[in-house]
Amino acid sequence: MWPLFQGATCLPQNAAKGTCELGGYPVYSVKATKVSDIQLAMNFARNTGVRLVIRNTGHDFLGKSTGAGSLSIWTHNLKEIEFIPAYSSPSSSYTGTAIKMGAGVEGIELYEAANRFGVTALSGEGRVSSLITVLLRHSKPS
Amino acid sequence: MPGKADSPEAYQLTDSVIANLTQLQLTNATFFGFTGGSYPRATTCKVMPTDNAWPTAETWNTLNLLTGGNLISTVPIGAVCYQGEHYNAAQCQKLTDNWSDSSMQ
Repeated sequence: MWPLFQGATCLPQNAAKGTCELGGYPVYSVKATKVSDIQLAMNFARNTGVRLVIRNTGHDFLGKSTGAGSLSIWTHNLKEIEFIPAYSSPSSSYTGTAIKMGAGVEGIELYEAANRFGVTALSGEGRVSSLITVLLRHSKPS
Repeated sequence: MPGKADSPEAYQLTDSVIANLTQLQLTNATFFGFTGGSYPRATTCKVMPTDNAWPTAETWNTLNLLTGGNLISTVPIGAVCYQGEHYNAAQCQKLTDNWSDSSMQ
């Protein structure tokens, strides 16, 4: 994936043949550790006209997690996982167990946490890809 | 504020924080607010590093300060293999050895 979108610049294998350029890499990244980091970065990009990209593990198949001349919000470090034993969705369409997690949680981290909580979590493809939404069921059939 | 004391949600940007920035007379405080930004949206191209409108180093530094030092200036991971300030032979070797490991990338 990455050669298509990053532009194959600054490859270790090509060090003898040229210089290290940014290519499709963002110029700056905000390492998001708190909500205000994300708010500041988004306000900044909107008000200055700088291109904004979001990067978690950088595995987006369409290359949306990188971009030339951009400011990136790097969400990898948002790793909180909280188990909610009795969750009720705002419309009450779902009641039951739930996990609230930060944007940087990856598949394998969710599985390990769900195992500790005694529930089953459904994740996406890939051990190290990040999750945005997840469905949970209690481990015992109901 | 919502969120537990040490969770990321404990630190949220609000209009009153933005007002404090303006009182400090930071000339670039308008870049950080929720409304009132001067860049015309949707009708023009994004601002690129070679453009006059690219934020100044001082403005980027303000973003760095407001995020508590969380702004990173990109140095591509392969830079350790290129002659220059980031060159490091040992790190370059480790990088090329592990190049096909997706969790490293």
